Amino acid sequence: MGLFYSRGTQLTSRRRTDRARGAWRILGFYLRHLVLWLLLAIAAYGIWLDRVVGDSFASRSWSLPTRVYASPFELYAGLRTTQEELQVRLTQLGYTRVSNVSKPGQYSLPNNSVEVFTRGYHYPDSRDRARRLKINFAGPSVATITDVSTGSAARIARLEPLEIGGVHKTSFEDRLLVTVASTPQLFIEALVAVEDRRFYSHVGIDPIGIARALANNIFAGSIKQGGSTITQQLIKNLYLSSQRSYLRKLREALMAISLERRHSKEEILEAYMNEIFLGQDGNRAIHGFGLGARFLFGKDLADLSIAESSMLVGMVRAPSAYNPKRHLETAKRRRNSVLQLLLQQRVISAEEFDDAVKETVLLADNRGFREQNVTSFIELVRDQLVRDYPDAMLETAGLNIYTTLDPYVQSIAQTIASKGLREIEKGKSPTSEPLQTAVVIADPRTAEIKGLVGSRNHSSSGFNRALNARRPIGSLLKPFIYLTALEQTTRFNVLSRIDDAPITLVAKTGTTWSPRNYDGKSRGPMALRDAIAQSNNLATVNLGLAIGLKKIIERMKSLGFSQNIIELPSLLLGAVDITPLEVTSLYQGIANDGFHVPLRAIRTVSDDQNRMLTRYPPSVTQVAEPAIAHLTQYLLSGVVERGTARSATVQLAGSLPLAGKTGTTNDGRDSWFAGFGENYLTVVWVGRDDNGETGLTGSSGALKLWTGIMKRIGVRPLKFGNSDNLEWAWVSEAGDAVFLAECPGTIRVPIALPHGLPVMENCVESELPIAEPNVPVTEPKLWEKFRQLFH
Amino acid sequence: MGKISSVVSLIGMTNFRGLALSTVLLGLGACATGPPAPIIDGTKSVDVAPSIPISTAVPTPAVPSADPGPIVTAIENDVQFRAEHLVEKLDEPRERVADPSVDATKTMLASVDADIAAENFGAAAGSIERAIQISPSDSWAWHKLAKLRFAQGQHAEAKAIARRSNSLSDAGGDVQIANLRLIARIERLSGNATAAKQAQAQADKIAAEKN
Repeated sequence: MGLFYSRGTQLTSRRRTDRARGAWRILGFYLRHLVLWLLLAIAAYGIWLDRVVGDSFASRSWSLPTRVYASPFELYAGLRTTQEELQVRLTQLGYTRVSNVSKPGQYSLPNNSVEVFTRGYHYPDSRDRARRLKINFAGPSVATITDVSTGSAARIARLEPLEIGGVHKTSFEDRLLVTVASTPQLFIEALVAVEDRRFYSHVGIDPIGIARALANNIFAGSIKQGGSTITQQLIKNLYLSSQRSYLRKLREALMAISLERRHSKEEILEAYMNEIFLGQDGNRAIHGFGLGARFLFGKDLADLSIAESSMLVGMVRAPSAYNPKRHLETAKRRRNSVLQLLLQQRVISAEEFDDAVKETVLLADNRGFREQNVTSFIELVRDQLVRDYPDAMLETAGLNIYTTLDPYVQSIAQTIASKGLREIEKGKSPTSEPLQTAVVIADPRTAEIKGLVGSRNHSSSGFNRALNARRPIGSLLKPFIYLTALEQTTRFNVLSRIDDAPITLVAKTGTTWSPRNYDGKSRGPMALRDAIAQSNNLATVNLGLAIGLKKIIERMKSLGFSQNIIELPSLLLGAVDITPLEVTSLYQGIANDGFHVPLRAIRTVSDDQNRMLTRYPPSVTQVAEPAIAHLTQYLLSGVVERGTARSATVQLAGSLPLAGKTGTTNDGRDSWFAGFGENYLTVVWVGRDDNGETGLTGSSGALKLWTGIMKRIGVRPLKFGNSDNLEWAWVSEAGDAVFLAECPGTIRVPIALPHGLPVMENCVESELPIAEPNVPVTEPKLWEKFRQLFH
Repeated sequence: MGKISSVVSLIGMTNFRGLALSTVLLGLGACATGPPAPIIDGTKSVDVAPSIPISTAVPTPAVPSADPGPIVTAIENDVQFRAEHLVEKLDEPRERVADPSVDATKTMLASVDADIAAENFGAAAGSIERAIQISPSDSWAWHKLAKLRFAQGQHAEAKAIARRSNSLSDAGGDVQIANLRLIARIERLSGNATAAKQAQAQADKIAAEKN
């Protein structure tokens, strides 16, 4: 037993040793395999990640919102503008006033001149260099423009376009792409010094950095420090969640190595510089140093000072805490510690350090123009864009939209609209529904929209009345009736007599319609030009019925009315609902000598590299003979000179002749004015959203705003263009004879050819035909007409 | 109605409120009138009682701003214009004042003919459109646009623009001759022999008068 026991014991212990050895062997076996498999797994994972990184990094594209720009301001000798206007424009663009101009983005105001260092701009089809210009004024215009660096006169110069907004998702990433090549060396050195000292020597991960971070973490008992390289940070931002775990860390490291294997340091740095998150601005996430520089300092990255570069680089670690717009002092301390580091690493000299820590922080004030309401205009831009570009592309493809908006005109229009309504309301009992307004300003020659107001307050948004408020236009329709009449050149001229007599129309259903003049009186026979100047309803209805509703509707359609128009006599007094924008389009044809150009808000669209994609040039269709358009302009200039809009002449005395038409609907529910000079066509509507009464006429409401706006934006007198079939002649007051010389009882007026009137060589009074009303003549088909025998 | 997820906004602030509101208001606006015909009175300002006094000088603001200052309100019925008086003021076509913007854009247009000849239409369009933006009354700039459209085969558009250019020009000028010749060419190509002859004759007449 003993033996056995002993053997047994021996056996047992041997067996135990063997077992232990076996266990170790097995454990070792499994461990080896485990490690091997683990390594294999990591390798496979690494290979897979390598593929992921390789494919996605190469094909990645930044999500970029669409940027919308106003039109650039063009300067040339002779341009009518003032030092004050130029100063407003420079302020809108974020230029800083200094005593001595030395850098782009600065201006000074020496006596009666402006010295400005433009920023330069890369347009889709040309490039403007940054230039130092001196602009001298003489009276209300530019006298000379001198390029200060060369001393030579500049024929033409432009300020860069103001960015006014964008098209994007509800919350979105925004960035201005930069390249390493265009970034100052100092900025890159500062970034590397602060974020990743060994960036140019490591392979994506930095073992020394990791060891240091690991030691610190163990010491702290949790993961506090990343020890991440720039490459790892980029991987994290592009592909990974912000969760902190060792597995994620491993993944990050593997992907970083892979990225370094496949891409150059420069590519990685560039991607990092454009991806980095630098803070939130409302719904907009600020990404990349390009936009960071613009957002914080209003400058290009290349133009930042050492102090500004350091502040921006310092924000990477904690974009919110170190945001100088929110925590200036903390941001300054952070900047100084970055500067300290740069000094230690000899990136900057002691002298540069001393200057930089003393530098005052000058933050960009982005509110300047953006407080103004351009939402209404951008909505119009978008309406035009969606015809050619799908929504998804507008939101992410980084398109650049160069628009027609003049930010100076827009500012004035919005301010006067708000102010004007307050003044109109002054002294009147307050109503629950305040007055509202819409204003559209276009250049009639190019049909470019220069300003658009969709609401009385620039802070409010929502209903865009300029585009969406369909209201009856009242007497704004009259010019189209008179135009149709004047096209019958042998039947009507501007002095032809029409009868301002009461009239009652009875429909087949028995309904009667008896239009009235505004004052309830009727004036009997009167000259066509006076009937429109005074906006006489009875004369107009009689004229319209004489021409025929069908013909007028036909003509309105060919002039651009797209609505379905019901053939009712009330149409003659403007019972047709259209928007202020549509009114502008209709008047454009008349204002532009009979040539219709579709209204435009966009000039060009370029892609994210600013390569030209689409041009939106003016396209021209002739809708009326120039001679007839000129006659209509002449009639409308009478409205301003002596008619319902004559109050405008007090303020606009220096800009006459101007043409326009007032419009009022029942109980003043709508107060309209549409009018133009050579360079601006402006349509104003005033009313209430609930269609309530305003007690206003076209002249006591909309005209006031129109006058104020036109004066401030510098409307120029109407120029009657050249046309073959128009001449100026002495015509008898009754419009029934042309005289070769001035005679008593004649008036010099434009007359379209052929006029078919007798031509008198001498002033023989007895030869003058007796003035008889030559209208109305034809009976309307649908309506039976009863002329009242008394007036 | 567009996608609600995507909005139009100002930089730094999203100004967007329900399309629903717009729709409701639009509806209200649309309900303002409808057949049977409402009575709509035209405007007459004769009876408008002026209650707001004239405020004349607008003080120049010390700080630059686009703020136009108070609205100047005019008295409406103090000046009774008489028709005869106005005739003098109204508008016989006057001598066209030299437009400085035309001079400023001259160089821009200088290369256009060469660009069109080389079928470099993008470059030509860029120059012409900028010239028109700066100087929209320049008949030469519009003439160049007509030429470009003709070169691009858009004949109807070219004809309309050439006519537009003519209405901007002084009677009997070189630009009129150029436009009429272009119109004659277009008419000839479209088989309108009479119209072509007419335009050509008109061009020749102006040219002869000039010499």
